[in-house]
Amino acid sequence: MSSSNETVKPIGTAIDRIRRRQLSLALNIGIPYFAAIIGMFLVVYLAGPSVAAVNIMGFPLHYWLVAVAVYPITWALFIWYVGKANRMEDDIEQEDI
Amino acid sequence: MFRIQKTSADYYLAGRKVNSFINASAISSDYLSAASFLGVAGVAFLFGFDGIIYALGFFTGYIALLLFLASPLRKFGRYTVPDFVSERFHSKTARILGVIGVLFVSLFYMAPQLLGAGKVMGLLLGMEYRSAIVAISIIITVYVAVGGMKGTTINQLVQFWILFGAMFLLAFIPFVMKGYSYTDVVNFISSFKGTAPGGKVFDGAAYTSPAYWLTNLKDTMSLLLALMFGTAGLPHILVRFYTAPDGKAARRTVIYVLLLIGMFYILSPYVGHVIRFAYLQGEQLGISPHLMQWLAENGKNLAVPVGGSYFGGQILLGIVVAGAFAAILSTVAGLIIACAGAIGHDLVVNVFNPNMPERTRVTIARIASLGIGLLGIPLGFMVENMQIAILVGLAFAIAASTFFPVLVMGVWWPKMTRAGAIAGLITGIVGSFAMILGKGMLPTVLQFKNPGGFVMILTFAAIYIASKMEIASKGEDALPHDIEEVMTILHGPEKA
Repeated sequence: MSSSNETVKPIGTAIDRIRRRQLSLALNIGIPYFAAIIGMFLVVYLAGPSVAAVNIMGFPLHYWLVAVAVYPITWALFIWYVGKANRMEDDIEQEDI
Repeated sequence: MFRIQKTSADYYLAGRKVNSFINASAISSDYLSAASFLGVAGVAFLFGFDGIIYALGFFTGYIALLLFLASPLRKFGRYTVPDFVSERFHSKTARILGVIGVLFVSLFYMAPQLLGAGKVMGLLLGMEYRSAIVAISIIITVYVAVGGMKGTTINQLVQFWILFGAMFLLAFIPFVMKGYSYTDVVNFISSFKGTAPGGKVFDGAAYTSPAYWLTNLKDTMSLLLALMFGTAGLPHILVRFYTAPDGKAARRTVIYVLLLIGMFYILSPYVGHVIRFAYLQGEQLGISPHLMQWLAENGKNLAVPVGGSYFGGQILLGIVVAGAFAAILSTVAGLIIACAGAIGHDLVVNVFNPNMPERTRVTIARIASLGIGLLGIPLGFMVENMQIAILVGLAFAIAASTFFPVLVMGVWWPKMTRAGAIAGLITGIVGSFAMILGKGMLPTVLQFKNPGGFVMILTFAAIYIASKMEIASKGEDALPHDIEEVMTILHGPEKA
C-alpha cells in the first residue's frame, strides 16, 4: 500500500479531533444538567415560602424536586451517558491514529 | 488478619486489581464519611429544607468527576493529583503546591470525622470529648500503618453495607413500622409554631421552606458550586480510580457509586426530618429525657445515633454506632493513605530522591501515615463545636477551588501552561485558605458560609489568564514539549 498519495494527518490534529469529540459529548450533557440542577435550586430558593405552599400528592413541590426527583433523573441520564461515552471510546480504538 | 505489604504500590493502592462493583462499594464507603452518615441527616435535622443542599451537592458531585475526569485520569495512570500536575506540566513547583493542596484538603476532611467519632463516644460511653479524640486517632493510625489500602479495600466493602443498612433501618422503622410518611412528617413540622423542647422558639414553616439558614443568594450559590464540584477534586476519591482496570471501567465504577450513594442520600434528609418530628413531640411520644437532652445539645451531629436509639432501641443504636465508626475509620484511613502518598511518593521520592530503595519508600509511607494520623488529635480538639457536614463542606471548598479547575483545564485544554497551573494552584490554595480561616477579617461582601464556588471561579480565571500571558510572551515554547503525547494518553485509545 502506497502512502504517498494519501493525505496523512499529523498526530496533533487526529488526537485533537478525538479530544474535541469527547469534550463536546461531556459538555452537551454536562452543561444542561448542571444548569438544570443549579437553576432548579435557584428557582426554588428565589420563590421562597411561596414554593412551599405548592403540594403535589400532598408532598411539597420543593421537596419533590430537591430531595427526590434529582436522583432517578440523574441515574437515567448518566447510565445512558456512560454507554454512549464508552461506545465512543470503542470507536476511537477502531480509528487509526 | 494483618498483611505485610511488600511494595509501596501495594501499600498505596492494593496492587491495582479491583473490580468495578467492589471498587464502587469501597469508593462509596470512603465517600460516605461521618459527614454523610451523621452530618447530612444532622444538617437536615438542624436546618430543615436548606440542609438538603448537602445531600444534593454530595450526590451530584460525582457527575463532574464522571464527565470530565474519571476516564482520562485513569488512562493517564497517575497516582495522585501532584503526580498529575508534575507529569502534565513538568514542574516541581506545581507538584509541591499539589502536595500542599492534598494535605490541606485531607486535614479539613479529617477534622469532622474525628469530631463525629468524639461525639459518638460521648453519647455511647459517656467518654469525655478530648480523651475520645486521642483514643480514636491512635486506633486509626495503627490500623492504617499496619494494613495499608489492601486491608481497607476489603473492610470497606463490608463497611459500606453496614452504613447503608443502618441508614436504611433508620428510615424503614419510622416510615413503614410507625407509619410516619415523609408527607406527614414535613406537614407536621411546617405547621408547628411555638416553643420546642429545650425552650427555644421554633418556626416550622420557615424550617421547611427555602432560605431558613441560607439567607442570601451568594452564600447559597457558592456553597452549591463547592459541593457540586468538590468531589471531583478530592484526593482520596481520585486515588481510588487508579484501581479500576481501564478508563471505561472507571466510568462504570462511577455509575455504581451513583446508585449506591444516591439511595443513601434520598434516605438521609428524611431521617433528619423524622428525628426533628419526633423531637418536637418528645413528651407525647415518650422519648426519654436523656435522649431529649442529647438532641437539644448535640442534635446537629448526633441526630442519627439518638434517632437510632429511639426508633430501634439498643440494637439499632449498636448498628448505627458501628456504621458511624465504619464511616469514620474507612474515610480517615483513605485520607491518611492519600496524605502518606503525597508526602512519601510525591514529595520525598519524586522531588528529593528518585533513586530511593523500595524498603525506604515503605518506611517513609509508614512514618508519614503516623504523622498525619496523630495530627488528628489537635484537629479534633479545634473543631469541637462545629457541625460535621458544614465542616466537610469546607474541605469540598478547597477541592473545588483548587484541584477541580487545575485538573479539568489540564486534561481538556492543551494550551494550559505551567504558569497557568501554578497560578491556579496558588489562587485556589491561598484564596480558600484566606477566605475560610480569615473570614472575620474580610469585608462582609467577601464573607461566605462556604467560599468554594467563589474561589473556583477565580481559579479558572487565573489559569486562563496566566496561560494566555505565558503563551503571549514565549509563544509555543510555553507549552510542554510532550503535550501531544500527553493528550494522546489522556484522550486516545487505550493500549490493549
